[in-house]
Parts: sequence; C-alpha cells; structure tokens
Amino acid sequence: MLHLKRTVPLAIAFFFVVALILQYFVPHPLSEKFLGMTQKWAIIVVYVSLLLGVGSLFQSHLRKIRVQTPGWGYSLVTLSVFGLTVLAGFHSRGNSPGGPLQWTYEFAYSPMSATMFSLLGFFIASAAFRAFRARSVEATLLLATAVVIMLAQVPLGAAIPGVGSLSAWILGVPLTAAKRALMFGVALGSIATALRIIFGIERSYLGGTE
Amino acid sequence: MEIVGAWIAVGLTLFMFSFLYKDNPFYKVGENLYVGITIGYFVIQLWYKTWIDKVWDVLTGQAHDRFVILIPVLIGALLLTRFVPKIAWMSRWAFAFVIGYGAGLAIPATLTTSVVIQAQATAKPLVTMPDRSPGAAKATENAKAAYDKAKEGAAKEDEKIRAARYRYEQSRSVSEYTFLTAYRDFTTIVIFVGVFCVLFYFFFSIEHRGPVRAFSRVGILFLMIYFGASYGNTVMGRLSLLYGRVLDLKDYSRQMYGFATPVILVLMIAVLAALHVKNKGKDEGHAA
Repeated sequence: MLHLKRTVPLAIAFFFVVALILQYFVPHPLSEKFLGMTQKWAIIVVYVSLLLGVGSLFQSHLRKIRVQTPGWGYSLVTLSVFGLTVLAGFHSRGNSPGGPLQWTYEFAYSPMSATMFSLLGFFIASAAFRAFRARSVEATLLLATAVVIMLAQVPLGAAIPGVGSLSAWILGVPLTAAKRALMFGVALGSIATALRIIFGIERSYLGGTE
Repeated sequence: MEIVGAWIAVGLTLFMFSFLYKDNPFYKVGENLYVGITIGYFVIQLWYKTWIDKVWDVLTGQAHDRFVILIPVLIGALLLTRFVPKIAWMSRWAFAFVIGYGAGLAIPATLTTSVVIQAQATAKPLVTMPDRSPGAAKATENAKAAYDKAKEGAAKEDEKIRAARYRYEQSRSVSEYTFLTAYRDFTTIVIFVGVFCVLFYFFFSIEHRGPVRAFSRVGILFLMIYFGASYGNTVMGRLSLLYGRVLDLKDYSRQMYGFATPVILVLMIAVLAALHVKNKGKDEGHAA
C-alpha cells in the first residue's frame, strides 16, 4: 500500500520530468508527438481540477447554507448566480455572439472585474500616501521612479521635456538590470525545485507525511 | 436588453465601489455575484473548449487511438478522490503528473530563456572597439552619402531625413567611437553592474559588511528603481481601468439609459444611510 501511496506518485513525477527534459534535447518527431500529447493531457487534467475547485466551493457554501451561519444568504447568491451563468452558457452553446453568456460577460463579468481591479488603485494610492516618505536614499529613489513612470503615462507629464525619455531609460536600463537578476534567481530556484522533484527530495505535493 | 444591461452594469459597478465607504451588504452581494459569475463563466468556457473539443470530439471520432484520451480524464478524475477521505491518496497520482509535467517543462524552458539568453545579453564587452574594417568604413560612407542626398533632395521630407540620419549615426557608431557608441557602452556597464549587484544582494554565503557592503547597497538601489517602476505601472494600469468605469457610469447616466447611474446611486445612498441609522440605534441600545 505504501508503494501505491508514495512510490508510484514519485515514479510518475520522475518519469514525466525526465521524459520532458529529454524531449527538449531530442527534437525527434516522436518526442514532438509526446510533447503535444502531454500538453493536451495537462489541459484536460487542469480542466478536471477545476471541478475539484467547484466541488470545494459548493461544499463550503452548502455547509454555510445548511448551518445558516451569519451571511448565509450571500452563499445562496453565489450558488444561484453560478447556476444561472452555467445555464446561460449551455443555452448559448459556449459563447455564441449575442447569446445570454456573452450578455452576462459584457454587462456583469466585465464591469465587475474592471471595478474590482480599479478598486485596488485607490488602496495602493492610499497605502503609498502613508508609506512613501522620502526618509532615505532608497525610499527617495523608489518614490522618484514611481513619480517619473506615472507622469510619463499621462498627457500632462509627457508634455514636460525629458520625462518621457527618462521613463524610457529607467524601463530600458536599470529596470532591465534588476529584472534580469531577479529572473536569474527565480530560474535557478525553479531548476533547483525541479531537481528536488526528480530525486524525490521534494514531496510536499504529496500532501501527507505518509 | 441593452437598457437592462446598462442598469445591471451600473448597479454592479456601484456595488463594488461602495467598498470605498466601508464593507457593506451591497459590496458583499457584488463580491458573491462576481465569484459565482466568474466560476460559472470559466466552467462553461472549459466545458466547450476542453471537454467537447479535446475529449468528446476525439472519442466520437474515427481515430484508432481515440481511447488514449481517456487516460488524462482518468488522471483528472483521480483528483476528485480528495472528496473521499479513504481513497484521497489516489489524488497524489494526478498531482504527481501535474508537478512532473510542470517541472519537466520548466527546466529546459527556464534554463534557456531566463538563464542562457539573459546571461548572453548581460555578459557583453563593456567597451566597444570600433570596427576598422574597410567594409564598415564603406557602409558608413554609403550611409553618409544617402543622408546627404536626403538633405539635398527636392522633397525635403523630414521623416526621410531623420531615417537617413539615424542609419548614418548607427553605421558611424560601428566604424568609429561616437557618442552613440559611448552611450551604448554606458548602458551595458549599468546593466552589468546592476545585475551583478542585485545578485550579490541575494548572496548570503558571506556577511555583507566592509567593502562588499557597497555592492549590496548598489543592488538595493537597483531594486528600489524596479519596485518604483513596477508600482508606477501598476497604479497607472488600475487607473486606466478606473477611467473606463467612470466613463461607463457617465454614459449610462444619460436619458436613453433611464438615468441609470444617478437613480441607482441615490437609492444606494438612501439604503446605506438607513442601514447606518438602524445600526447606530442598535449599538446605542447595546451600550445602554
């Protein structure tokens, strides 16, 4: 049983890591076919994993409705709207133009999505107002860079001579340098994690200690 | 239908914006509607684009190996065993596939794009030596001739002159050490120093004190520029979304949409004020 619980998943992970690495270095039609097949498989597995998420959402909201915890009405809203959207989707057979799902996307999903993200603008700005104090060289640099980048993106700032060029230089030179160094770090971290998976050292994805 | 859509869009937008006042029932309703619609929308998208296109159509097709497609379905189905505690361990096989697939793709891809290509772009000669070959000199001469011709041309189009000048300056910066060459070298040096110092800042094997501290300090300065620029870009991105919402609210406040924005706004303010009064009364009652 322990083999099924521990050895088999480790072997599956090992097989796919090694096979996909080999595939990259051996560009044979067979390996290309293997890559295409695995990519298709991954998309399907991810789709089914969405059902796991939906199931979990249902479990959590149904529990709230059953126990009638404070605010259970909101759970009812979530589940009803989810059901209505899915019905609208089946009625439209996907997202056919002019169908109810496209209408829902245009008049409900899209405005709410944009509003939700634009709300963050207020909170970032208010947090910055409280946190951005030019107390040190580092803080001043951060503040000045943010101001230049923001100014360059509005007509008033772009009209100030030099702001556009300075912003372009910041984005093209120092930003590239810092981003590149961070990319090195992230890449080396990812490779190290992948190697840990290959050698079976990284087992946190198995979930348990068994 | 468009008028109904306008009222719904305005209502939902204002529900979400009401959070700027405080957490309130309108926002909570909006938030839960958002979750429900988003998940429902993506379930439908994936149903048609993944399940129908990639599984159902293949299974009902004529290909002799069509049943192979059931393997990922089976692997995916193993994830659902998470809901049955006794056999939940079977989901590990599916997770192992996802992790193995991700890691297998990540190693060669990140090695190429994030390490090799980035290192190549960084490890360049810090000083450019002019190319003294006859070919480079000839190219510069030709570019200069073209530039002179553009200047003296009858049409005297600014754009053409600028393009010819640009080509001449580029060509000259290869065959001679010009201001442009010096600028390029300066850029290369700044990037090299930046990458080195930021990497050094994250290098914890030696203590950052004494002369080596200078490197990590310079690294911090580069990181601050990065964070500042990221912050600026994020704020401007959010603000552009805000412009869009404000413009929609303005559009929908017109008569042809039944004054949706002002009507809903007034109703919401009235309800929020009533709730405030009610809650205040309750609080006072509790205090007494």
